Amino acid sequence: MEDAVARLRNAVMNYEMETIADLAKQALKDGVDPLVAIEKGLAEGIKTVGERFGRGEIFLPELVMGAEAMKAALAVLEPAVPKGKHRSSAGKVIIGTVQDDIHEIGKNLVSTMLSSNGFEVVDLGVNVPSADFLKKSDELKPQIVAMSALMTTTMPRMAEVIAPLKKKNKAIKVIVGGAPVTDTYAKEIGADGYSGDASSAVDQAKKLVR
Amino acid sequence: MANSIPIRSRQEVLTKSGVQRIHYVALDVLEKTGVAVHSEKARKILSAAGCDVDNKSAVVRFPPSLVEECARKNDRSVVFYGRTRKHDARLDFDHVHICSDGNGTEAFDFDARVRRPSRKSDVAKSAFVADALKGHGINWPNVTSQDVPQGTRHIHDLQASLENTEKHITIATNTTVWEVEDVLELASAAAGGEDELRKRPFISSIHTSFSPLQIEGESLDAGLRICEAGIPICFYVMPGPGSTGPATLAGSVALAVAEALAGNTIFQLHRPGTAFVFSCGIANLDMKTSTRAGGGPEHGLTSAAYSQMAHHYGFPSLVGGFVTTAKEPDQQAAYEKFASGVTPILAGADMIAGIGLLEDCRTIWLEQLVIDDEMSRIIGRMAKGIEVDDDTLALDVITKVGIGKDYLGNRHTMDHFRTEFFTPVVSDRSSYDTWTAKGSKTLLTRAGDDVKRIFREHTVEPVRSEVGEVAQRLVRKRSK
Repeated sequence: MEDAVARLRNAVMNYEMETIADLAKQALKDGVDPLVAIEKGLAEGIKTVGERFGRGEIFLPELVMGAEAMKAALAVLEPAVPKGKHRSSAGKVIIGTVQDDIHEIGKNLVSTMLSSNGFEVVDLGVNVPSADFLKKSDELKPQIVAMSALMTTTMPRMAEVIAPLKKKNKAIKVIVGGAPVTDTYAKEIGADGYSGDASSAVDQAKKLVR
Repeated sequence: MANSIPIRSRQEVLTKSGVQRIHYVALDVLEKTGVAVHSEKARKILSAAGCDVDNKSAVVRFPPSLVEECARKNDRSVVFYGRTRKHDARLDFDHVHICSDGNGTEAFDFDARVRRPSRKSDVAKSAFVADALKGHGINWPNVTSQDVPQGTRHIHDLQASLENTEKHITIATNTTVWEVEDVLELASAAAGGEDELRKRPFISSIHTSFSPLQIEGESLDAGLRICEAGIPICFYVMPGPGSTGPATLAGSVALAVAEALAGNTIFQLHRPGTAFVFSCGIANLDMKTSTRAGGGPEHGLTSAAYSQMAHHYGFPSLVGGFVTTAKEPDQQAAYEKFASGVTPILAGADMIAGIGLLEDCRTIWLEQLVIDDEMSRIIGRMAKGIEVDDDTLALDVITKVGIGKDYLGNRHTMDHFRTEFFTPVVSDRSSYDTWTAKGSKTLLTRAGDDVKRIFREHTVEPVRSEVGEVAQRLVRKRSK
């Protein structure tokens, strides 16, 4: 059982995204606790990958492939977790690119980095209507709402979400990012955090949930 | 193999007819004006081969047929061997090798942060740092030892180089026969004997003409002696357009080619099959400051043109580039070095000398070695061009990823990004936040950090123990 968990951990660390699903299926067949497989296997593996990336030892495609491997195995293991049991997490984040903006890469990178650092991330996708950010926050009760905008024309959409969100729930934290966004702008619209790249987004998120 | 830049599509600067016309001008100059050859030994050789020699003025006029015949006698597969095999540089006309350069007299002290005359420790440190660089292929000592007794510099320079690099060492201080004897003895000690050195000569020797159209005797005799030991000769010609050469670049290149062909004729007659490397640094005089404009765009152009001429005859080339007149590693240093480096690299010169120094090849900054290495790798990526085949066209990957998704987590990305993209060492590409969070470090600071990392992490294969003993003995002999 130890071996099966270690194999999953190594498969994430070696970016075996094409074959890891088979390992996960085999682990379930061998009677491995899916929650243990996720927490001691996948989560440990992606944490190591994330740390290596943070230290500059590996490159972005490797980080993303590690995350892809984790996702592929999660798709097998998660449905097998008994109802009522939950993974431990660093915090829950909902993330999306604002309305009228379909730029995705930056948002995806932040999403990958957050999940590789133990956050539970719900990705709402791109061109997310402002009303949807509000609705989903009500529904999922995240600690953090993260928004991305890549154009000066769509940046104001972030302000459009923050005001009603904060009105409803003072405790909820908002982080924003995207090429045209600056620290000053983030403060102006009442966001709690801003980051210029995916790595510092994680630092921001960790600070905010502490 | 030594670090090098493969050339996919050559960007030449001369047309076919341009090459032919330069060739004919060079032959005309050699036949009608001639070259003053201030070596009796060389004049005897040339006279015997049919040259018109005037011993009073030392002027030698060369029959074109002899010049062309000798051009064909050059070694066609020159290898600049490393002290270790992994640094062997094959000069196959398809790879560019970046050299450090070249016998400067000042150093900016890495620790004390002051500019002062260069010392033996600077020769050692610059060789060590260059040895670690991924873009650098051949070591030409950046500076010379000036804290040693007169008459022993050549021994100290070579010893410090041998002990601190495994790469090929190009020596520019072989100006007399007795110095050559010392160099051969010390290099043989490092090789494990004279025969071993002859088999894998990991040193080469630079000899120069004095433009316009003069070859000094003592240095030439030294070259004739060292080529007998199988050591490659880099014949360096440096007409300065507007001062020691015609102001027009074509004219100065033609003059340079004439001098190099004269040099080659002498060496091939003395020892047929000598590995003779067409070498040059053709930078004009700045007409305002009366200094050499090594960082001018003309320098890169003449280097590229001269290299093209060398290849036309079948000679490998060693040309100037990465030169600047800037006094600090500043923006001028960056653009002048880039401007003078990019043209000869894209033209496919076999070796380009210049990394590490400022003030027109006078002052070593260890940080500059690291910065120049980065620049050479950037240009190297440009020279590599775009490879088109099924794998690089990636139709199956484009089809698989489809619409609106990304390629980041794709195996194809993983397989290619390391070779397809230039990976910076000291250039900062982080966001403003990350950069400030890490201390808002300037390029110079980051390059200094890398120098410190190299001193911490890099290792050089030790030389044979005899090297130290032989060097000591030679120094004692020459100090008397």
